[in-house]
Amino acid sequence: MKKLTELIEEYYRNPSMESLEKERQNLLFYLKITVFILIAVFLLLTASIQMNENVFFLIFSVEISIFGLIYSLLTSGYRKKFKNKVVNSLVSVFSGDFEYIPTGKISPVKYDLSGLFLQHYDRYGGEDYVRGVMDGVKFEFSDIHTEYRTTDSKGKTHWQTVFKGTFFVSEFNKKFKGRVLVYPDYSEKFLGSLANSFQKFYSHNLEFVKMDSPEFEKEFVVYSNDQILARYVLSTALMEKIMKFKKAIKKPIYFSFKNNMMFVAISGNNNFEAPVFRSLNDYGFAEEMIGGFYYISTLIKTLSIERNIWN
Amino acid sequence: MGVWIGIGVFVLILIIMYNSLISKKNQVENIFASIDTLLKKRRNLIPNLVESVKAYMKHEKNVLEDITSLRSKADTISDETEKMDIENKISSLMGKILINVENYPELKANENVMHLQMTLAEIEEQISAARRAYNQAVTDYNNAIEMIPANMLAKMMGYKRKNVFEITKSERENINVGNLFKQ
Repeated sequence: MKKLTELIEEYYRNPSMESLEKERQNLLFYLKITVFILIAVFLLLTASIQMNENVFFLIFSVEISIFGLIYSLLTSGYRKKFKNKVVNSLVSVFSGDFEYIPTGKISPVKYDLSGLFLQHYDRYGGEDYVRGVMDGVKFEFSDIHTEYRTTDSKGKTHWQTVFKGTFFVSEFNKKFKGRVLVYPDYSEKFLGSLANSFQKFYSHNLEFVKMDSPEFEKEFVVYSNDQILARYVLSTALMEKIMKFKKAIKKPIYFSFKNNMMFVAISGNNNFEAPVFRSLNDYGFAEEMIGGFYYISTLIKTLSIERNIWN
Repeated sequence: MGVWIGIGVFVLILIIMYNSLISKKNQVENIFASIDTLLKKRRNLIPNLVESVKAYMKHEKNVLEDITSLRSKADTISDETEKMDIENKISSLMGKILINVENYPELKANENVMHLQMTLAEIEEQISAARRAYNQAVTDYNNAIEMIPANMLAKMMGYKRKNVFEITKSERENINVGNLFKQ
C-alpha cells in the first residue's frame, strides 16, 4: 500500500496528464466563448425589447440553463477520461486489492440498512464506486445522492437533497445484536450540556447515549437501543480514532453500526471530480482529491477494524 | 379555579419528577445487574482456563490456586464492595495467567487456550463497556437527586448518592486481541 505523498507523486507521473490538461484548456476556451456569446445575446435582447422584471428573469434563467447544458456536454467526455485514465490507475496503484468502477454505486439496500437517513427518497443516484480489502476487511464506498420530491403551490416539482456525499460500508470486527447511530452534533457547540435535553427527544426511537469522552460528545450525538452496547461498539480507543478521522476529513460524518457492519456517511464529499476552472497540475487540487480518497480508503486502518484473527 | 389549576400543575410536576427519579434508579440497577451477569460469565471460564494451563504452568501453581479459591468466594459473597474487590483481584490474576501463556509455546499453540483467551478478551471488553454505562447512569442519578427541586423529593424517598466505578488506565485502553497472539 502506498503513502499519501507517493500517491500524489504517482498522480503527477500519469502519462495522460499532459493531454488531459490540454483538453481542459481547450474546454475552458470554449466555455469562455459561450459566456461571451450569452452575455452579448443578453445585452442585445435587453436593448431591443421592452424589459420588465419577469422578462429579465426569464431571459436570465434561460441563459443559465443553456450554459449549464453546454457545460455538461462539453466537459462530460473530459471528466470520463479523467476517471478512466487517471483515477483508475491511482486506485490500482494504491493497492492491488482495490477495484474502481466510475459508474457504480453502493446498493440502495445497504444505504437503507444503515438506518442513518430516515427521510424517504424518490431518487437514488451515485458514482465513483470503489471496493477492496484492507487488513483482511472487505469494504466498499461510492458517492451517493438521495433526493425527495416536493410540489409547491403552483404545482412545480422541486428536488430536495436527503444526503449527498460519500457512503462507506465495511465489515465490523465486533459481533453484536442491536444498533448504534452516531450523528454530527451541531447543537452542543452552542447550547453546551443543555443540548442533551433536546437530543433525548429526537432519538429515532432509540435511547440517547451520553458518551464519556467530552471531546467526542462535543462533536457527535449517539443513539442506541442498548446503553452497554453503545459503549461496547464505541470503545474509548475507537472514539479517539473517529476524532482523528474527523480532523483529517474536515466534513460532517455519520456512523451506523448494525448487523456486524459499519456504515459511514461523509456529507458534502465528492470523490474524483476533474477540475475545469483549476489546472490539473494544481497541487492544492491534487492533495485535496487524493487526500479525500486516501483517508476514506484507509478508514479500516485508521479505526483499527482488522478482521478478527480467529474467524 | 386558579388555585385548582395551580395544584394540578404542582401535582403533575411532582409525578414527572418522581417517575424520572425512579427511572434513573432503575437504569442504575439494570446496568449493575448486567455487570454482575458478565462477571459471572467470566468466573465460569476460570475452571476451564485453570484446567487447560495447569499441566504446563508448574511455576504459577499459586496463582492458579488463588484464582480458583477467589472464584468460589465470589459466588458466596453478597456484599457489593467486597465482591467488587474480589473481582478486581480475579482480573489481575487472570491478566497474570494470560501473560504467562506467552512463555509456553505449547500453550500458545493450544486451540482451547487460544479460544479461551479470545472469549476472555471479549468479556473484558463487555465488562468495560458495562462499567462505562454504569458510571454514566450513576452520574445522571446523582445529578438528579442533588439538583433543586428533585433533591427534596429524593430525600423523602430515601435516595442516596451512589459511587461510580474507578476505571483503571489499562481498562481504558482498547483490548487488542491481535496483540495477544503476536510472536
